[in-house]
Amino acid sequence: MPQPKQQIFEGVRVLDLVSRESGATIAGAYLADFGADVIKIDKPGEPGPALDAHYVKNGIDLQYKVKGRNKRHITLDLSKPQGVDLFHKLVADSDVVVENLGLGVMEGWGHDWETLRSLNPRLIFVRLSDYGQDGPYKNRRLDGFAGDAFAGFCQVDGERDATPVDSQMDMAGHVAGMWAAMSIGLALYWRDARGGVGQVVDMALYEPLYRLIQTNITPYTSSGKADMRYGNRRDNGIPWVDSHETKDGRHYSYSGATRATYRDTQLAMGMFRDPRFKDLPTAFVNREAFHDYAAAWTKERTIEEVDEAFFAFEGASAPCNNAEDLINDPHELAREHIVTVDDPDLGPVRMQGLVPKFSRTPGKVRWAGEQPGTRNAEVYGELLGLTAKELDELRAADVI
Amino acid sequence: MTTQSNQQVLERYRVLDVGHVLAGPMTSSMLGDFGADVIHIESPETGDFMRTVAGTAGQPRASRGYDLINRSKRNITLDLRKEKARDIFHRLVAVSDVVTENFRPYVMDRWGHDWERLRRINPRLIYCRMAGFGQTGPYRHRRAYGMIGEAFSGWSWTNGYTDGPVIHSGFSLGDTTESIWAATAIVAALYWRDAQGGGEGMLIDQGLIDPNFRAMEQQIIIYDQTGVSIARDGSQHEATPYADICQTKDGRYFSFSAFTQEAIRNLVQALGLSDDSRFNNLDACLQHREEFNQTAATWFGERSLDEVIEVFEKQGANGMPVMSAENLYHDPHIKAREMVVSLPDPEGGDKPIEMQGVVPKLSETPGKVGNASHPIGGHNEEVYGELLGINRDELADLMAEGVI
Repeated sequence: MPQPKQQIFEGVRVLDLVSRESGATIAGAYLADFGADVIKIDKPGEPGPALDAHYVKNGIDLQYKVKGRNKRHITLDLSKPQGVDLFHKLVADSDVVVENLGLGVMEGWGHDWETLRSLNPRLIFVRLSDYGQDGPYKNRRLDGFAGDAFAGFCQVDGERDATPVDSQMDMAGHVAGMWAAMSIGLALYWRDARGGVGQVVDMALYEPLYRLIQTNITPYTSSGKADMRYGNRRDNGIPWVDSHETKDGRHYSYSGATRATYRDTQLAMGMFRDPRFKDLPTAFVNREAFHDYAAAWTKERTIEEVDEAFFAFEGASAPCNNAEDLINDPHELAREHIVTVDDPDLGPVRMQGLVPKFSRTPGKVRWAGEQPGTRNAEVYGELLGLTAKELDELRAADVI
Repeated sequence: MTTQSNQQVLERYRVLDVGHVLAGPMTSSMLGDFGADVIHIESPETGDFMRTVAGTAGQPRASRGYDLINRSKRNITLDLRKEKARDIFHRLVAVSDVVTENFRPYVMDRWGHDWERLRRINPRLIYCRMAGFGQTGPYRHRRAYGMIGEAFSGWSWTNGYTDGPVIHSGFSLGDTTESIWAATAIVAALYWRDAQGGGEGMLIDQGLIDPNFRAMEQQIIIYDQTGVSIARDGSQHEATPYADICQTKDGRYFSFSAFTQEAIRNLVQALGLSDDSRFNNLDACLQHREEFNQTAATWFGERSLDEVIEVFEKQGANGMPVMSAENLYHDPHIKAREMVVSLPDPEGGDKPIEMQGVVPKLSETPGKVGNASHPIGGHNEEVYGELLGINRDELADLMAEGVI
């Protein structure tokens, strides 16, 4: 029996070609959090300046510090002949390639599956694309936000009879990134634990989120009715699952949809003995009264008072936190969900810790996302034996 | 050792799903899609709450969402609260690879299924515990459902109209994102156990509130570095003026966005604004954000959805209609990608049950939707007979005692 590896994906090398702005970068970040050697390849000279001041400090894209953490960053132009050659040498020595460059782009540069598998039959080639590798829309384009729309998510997000909304999170991209991480795990497992070979993973960006939405297909085909958005008033306006504003301008959400949590919600808000709300059918008849009572009750109390009342009865509830709340929250701190990383660009920075917690192989946040090409000398030297002089020449030719 | 083509990755591996409602059962359905023998354990008295949720009662079969969440499984009953059930459960654990559960931390412990006990029974066991707030920390005994996962994680603070209240999605976002994180973790732990020399199982502590908190990468670092807590902004996006959802002439909605210079060029070209210096570059457009929003809204309002799609496709611009379940079901691309599958009704109904297909497509080991959800306890005889050698008479006794 060989020595157990210290981390889950130790010794697994991933060439990460997922563009910096995509939510799907979380695929590589997850594998890297748990020990994989993830080499992020940027095109020389890219990315251009980051887009918005909210997300940038001193020219540094703050979000990418988290997206690119624990990855080694190199530059390489995969379209130039010398770049093709170098990429193929890296592929021969790697386990996984994950890309979202657009349909046919890899093929155009000579990195089609047949070529790559001939270089490395054990390769796992993950192809994230806007609409998948086939089907009538394969040449159309979307990104994470349009992905939310196509997956059926925006349709159920927003107020009834108003324009759909979307959150500030690239839902479809992130869910696809995690789904890619699971798929890589499955493909590695088949290869290494079950005597298999490498394979191709083909996934459209919106497909994982579409797959998760339980109201998408079956309820529609059985009832003929498509689900709609209804703000915070779900299922014809049930009032026992809702969110209200507090006295101090915060928001508090509670969910009393089971018999036990309904009782706890009533207890927390002091309405347990009110005959109008004695059980769910009665409360549904009196749903406007319930809604008004709950809204007024919340509005008369601070967020601390509301949370204390719900906490006392173990209600299913939580404040709608913002970043400031979370970074100071005792539970998140106790869970080590806020970690400080020393970054050469920014100094000590705080970001999210590891999710989830593995008892035997905990993983580690080792460094924050790097500038393009930070590890050129290290990676090209270690993996391909390139000298400083050779790297200078490649740099002069804009290959790296 | 070589494997046959079309073998499933997780064939011959067994998952005991003592989950209920959504997060736990959805996790195991993903493993079932890739060949695992998933056994869903339900209370004989009440069944999974999801079978009878409000709004679905009175339909010929209880809850249709339940079919997606509980596909590709076998169903047995076992009342884990009963003394006799403890031993039966432990015998099942001894012949399984994975246990998934999404109760609060003390519940399984109280029933005698804490980690130390289960790992003694089966040192190779992977125990995926999916409590709302996780297994540790001061809030660990609090309950959490989908919208609590949205609220606590920071997600809902960023969802809603500009200057309006927080809005929750109509989708169980907390549960479902937890399920993909948990399924990924289980596959990872199996990989370490069987391919990385680990040899033993482990405990996975995956809270429902954790995934959205972790995946909103920008929220903590932006606050840490600039003091700003990002907030909701309708369907627009703080990072770019070039993102919104607009209504078309025929009453549909279209979502568009551009986050790179190339995407911005394609978008302004599609909207016919390439020569308008107020909008054709990022700096200028940030100065004229309101005007841009109005100009875009007017442009969409004058065109049908088909016209919009044609222009966007021609210019290579990012954008897509907001799809409803009805739109998705009838969409030719969804059909071509086999993203709707049709299964026989395990309860003998005439009408096939349709649901989402397998994601993703694996070239060598494609997954498969094994079956729609079975009736409660539908595999009691098969599973208890095959795995534990319990015969029909013994099963009848257990049933009379309310154990199964």
